[in-house]
Amino acid sequence: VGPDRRTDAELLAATRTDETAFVAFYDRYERGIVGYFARRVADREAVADLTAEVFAAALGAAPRYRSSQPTAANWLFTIAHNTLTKSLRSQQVQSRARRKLGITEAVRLDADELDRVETLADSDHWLTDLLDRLPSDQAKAVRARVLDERSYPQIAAELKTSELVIRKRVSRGLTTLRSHIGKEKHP
Amino acid sequence: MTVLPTVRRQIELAAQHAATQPTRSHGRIRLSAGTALAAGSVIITLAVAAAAIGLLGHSHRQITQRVPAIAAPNPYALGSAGIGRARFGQPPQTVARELEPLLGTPASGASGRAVRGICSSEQVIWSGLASRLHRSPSFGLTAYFKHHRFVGYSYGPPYAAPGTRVVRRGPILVTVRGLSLGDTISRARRLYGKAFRVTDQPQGTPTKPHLGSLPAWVAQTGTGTVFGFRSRPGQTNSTTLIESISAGDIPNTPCR
Repeated sequence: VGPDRRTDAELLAATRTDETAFVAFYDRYERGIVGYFARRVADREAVADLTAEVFAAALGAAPRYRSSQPTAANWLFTIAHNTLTKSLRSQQVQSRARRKLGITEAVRLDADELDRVETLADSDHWLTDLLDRLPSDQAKAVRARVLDERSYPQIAAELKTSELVIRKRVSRGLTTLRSHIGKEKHP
Repeated sequence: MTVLPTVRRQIELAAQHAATQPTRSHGRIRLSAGTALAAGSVIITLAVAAAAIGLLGHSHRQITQRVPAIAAPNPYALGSAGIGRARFGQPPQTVARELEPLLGTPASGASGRAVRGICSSEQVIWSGLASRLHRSPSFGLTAYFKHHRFVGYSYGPPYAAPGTRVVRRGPILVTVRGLSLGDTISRARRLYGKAFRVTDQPQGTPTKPHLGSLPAWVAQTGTGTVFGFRSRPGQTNSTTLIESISAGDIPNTPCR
């Protein structure tokens, strides 16, 4: 079975009628979200918990997702960022979204899963490879915003351009990345 | 291939449940007989669970304890524009205030005071972090200033003298991506991907060709570069080691 060709918006809109839609959305962004947390969190099982919490929150919010953009990457990574921020503040992984869905157990990973998270934590070459395919200005903007978590005003000041331009570069860059992720599988 | 089948399974079950939830129509919820039965079961289950939590009291705490705590981001990460919250452009007092909680009072003098260093620089040195031999003087982190502004740093034994093993001591500093002294080039490549490359650093300011070059490395980050020296070439990526980590404007000895 090949990758689902529906846009993110279409997948999210279909979550209430098509049980495969959100799983396709999960598969599309799992590596990105795990990689995002694995670079920021020491405990590998916490990475899994955070990932589960983000997708649970996304599933809960999916019917309300409204965007003309084909990619929901910005939206999803914003959820990830907020989840991480709240978790760090309380020193515990947030679990509210999962509890709403009836998921009460913290994730227990087997050895293979731990290895895969470790690999993603040690290497973001899959993302670096993708970034290399973007125009330089977009790659810099996406890296600064998504990987380094810098604010739009900060990035704009560093790159000596306007915040609006940076927002456009990040948006276009993520759209392009999304299309690449949909076309190929990364190890 | 899925990274976390366990998580995927949880989400898949939740998605199945969401897809079978009743939908709102004209402000009322339409339920089929089967769905109503299932919904009733869920409500009863939730009520029993809530009662159990209320009665037992410690159930909630136990669930909380099963959720792993997570580490805070490193406030002393070596970056391309500073160290943690100590950013290039700040005066020595501010830099010292940010770094002293971890590194203690500088060995170079009073807190927040830069002393005259090599190549017309001003510098603050924290010792006790790294040396090239067990019994050699242990230096560690040197922060460089120009006109009382933080312009660069170097973590590791000072200046260009690679060839002997680096000994880490005391608090270990790492880059934003997790690279530290003594790490292999292979690990650096895993951390930085194509943004990492090995290179050679010509010696001297200005460059003095007769002195040759020293083995070095550089990694591009989202905001600039971090760089440093590596152990001598001719070794494999898995045995060549990171010997220093620097960023910004640092002296390249010898200076005229």
